[in-house]
Amino acid sequence: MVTEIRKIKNSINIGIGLIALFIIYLTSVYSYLLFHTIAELFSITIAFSIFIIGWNSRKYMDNSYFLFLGIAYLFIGLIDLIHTLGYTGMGVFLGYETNLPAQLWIAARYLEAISLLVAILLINKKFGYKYLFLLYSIIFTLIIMAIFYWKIFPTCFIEGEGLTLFKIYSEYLIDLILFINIILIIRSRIKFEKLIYYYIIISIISTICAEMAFTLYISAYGFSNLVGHLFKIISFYYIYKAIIKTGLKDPYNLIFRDLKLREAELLRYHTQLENLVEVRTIKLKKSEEKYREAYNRAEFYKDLFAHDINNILQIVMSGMQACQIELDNPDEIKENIKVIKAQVIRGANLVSNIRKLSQLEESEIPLNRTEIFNILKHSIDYIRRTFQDKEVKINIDSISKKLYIRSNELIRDVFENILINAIKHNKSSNPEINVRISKEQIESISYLKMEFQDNGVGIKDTRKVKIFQRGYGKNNSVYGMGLGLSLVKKIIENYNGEIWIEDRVTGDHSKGSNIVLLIPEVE
Amino acid sequence: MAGIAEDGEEAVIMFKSFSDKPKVILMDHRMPEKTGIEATKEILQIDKKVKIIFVSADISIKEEANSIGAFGFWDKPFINEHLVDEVERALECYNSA
Repeated sequence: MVTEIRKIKNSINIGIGLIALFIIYLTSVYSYLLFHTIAELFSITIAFSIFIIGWNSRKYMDNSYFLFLGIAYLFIGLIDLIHTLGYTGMGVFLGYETNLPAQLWIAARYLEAISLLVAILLINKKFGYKYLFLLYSIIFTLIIMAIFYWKIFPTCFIEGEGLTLFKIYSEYLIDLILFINIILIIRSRIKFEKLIYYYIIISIISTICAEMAFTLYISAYGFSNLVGHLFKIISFYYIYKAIIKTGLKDPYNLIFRDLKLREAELLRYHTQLENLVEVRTIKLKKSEEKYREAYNRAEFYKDLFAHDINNILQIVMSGMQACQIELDNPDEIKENIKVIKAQVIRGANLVSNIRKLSQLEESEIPLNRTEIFNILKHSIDYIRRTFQDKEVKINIDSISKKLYIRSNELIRDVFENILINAIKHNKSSNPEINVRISKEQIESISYLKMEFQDNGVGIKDTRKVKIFQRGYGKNNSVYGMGLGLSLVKKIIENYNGEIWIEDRVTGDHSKGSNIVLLIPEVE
Repeated sequence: MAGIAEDGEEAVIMFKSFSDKPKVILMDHRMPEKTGIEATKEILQIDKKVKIIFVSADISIKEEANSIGAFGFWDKPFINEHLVDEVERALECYNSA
């Protein structure tokens, strides 16, 4: 909708412009001098206005382009004013024919074309505007002196013959300079607000067309002269739109464009910075979390180690003190040495478990397809040798003697910890463990179910879950000693399995426990 | 008379069951069901006179044990004779109170 209204407005503006041009053209029918005077006064007014806006905005504009043009157009306008006053038929400068306005025209157009070129080349540079004003004053004075006083300015028009070669070639040269101008402006387009950029381009193109027309006229009142002036009106109209209209209606686009650009750039940097800060904050938080976890883990192991080793040392100390007391009793000494030996093994296991648990928590040990029935058998043999003084009975009832899961060397720790636990907490004189292995299908995944049933003291319901915990958060569990079952749980979870405890006889924990493992099977 | 409890809960139950209350208790801290600190609080509520000597590898609870009325705190490992001396001192204290 807005675009439609804009299109209509533009069309109306173009229509009004064409009507205005036509009306101005009609004045030429009545009096060419009137037409010329109106056309030139239009452009002179715009030239002086450019100076006023450029001059008064010099403090706010970093972009030197408009200030430069402002100063240049003041003097271009002055030359055009003298050209208007000196035009054939005005009768202001007596003794001068058509050559005078032609010379002044060429001088103004050279000054205009070169000024536009220098302005775009100096677009990023700062300059002393007072020096520029002085320079243009000198150039203006030299031009006027060359034409009026020294009379050394090249002839541009010969009565009866028309335009001189100097005039014609000058117009071509001016066109070339203007063409280069267009290219340079296109290359610097980022410096201009979009509409201003297009207006300036159109203005220069119109000037080129005007100059081309001015290479063809024979008479000061001729048709090509008329056409040239109409193009000049169009050229200055677009300069008016680019600089004056924008400067009055939307000064920020003209004066503060640099500021706007910088503001936009600043906003972009600010957004980038915020994003960067956010990313870094997330990274920092993750690092903090990891550090906190590592710290807590270190504290936990330190505490655990200190506590459990001290307990082991106490039993060793007591055993040694008992030996000292019972030096004459070899049997007692033997018993105490056994106790000491068992504690040393316990300590070694503790260190080993801590190491493995720590390794599991820091990084994963790779899993491979493993046959575990034989590993279970070796573990059972090891346990029997370890507990030779107890008549431990361990039976295996398995669905198959080839059982495959994805695991690693720690599967042995699983079996040995479960078996040791079952024997340690068994007050019976004939500890018995039945290992039952079956398969289960749960949601299209095949699992091996391994049940370790013992006739030990059992585990109360309140401890069935807590027995696996030995955490290092705020609520350190204080149940039991060592890490055996915590390690087992961690390893099984690593295998994507589960572990839980049931009563061997449902509802009666005192009849022993049933530790159940559920591990995904592989072919 | 002497007795051994497996954990803090059993210690409290045993203590309650004795008509002739024990004079000195050697209390561990990290035990299943109930910790030494919890058991000590309950036992001292029943009988303020009993002398509870903490014997624990967990030195971090020493201040708390003293603040709730423990007679002494011995961290492991200790020399048996020293603990025996401490028990004798506790008995003397109990009898003179």
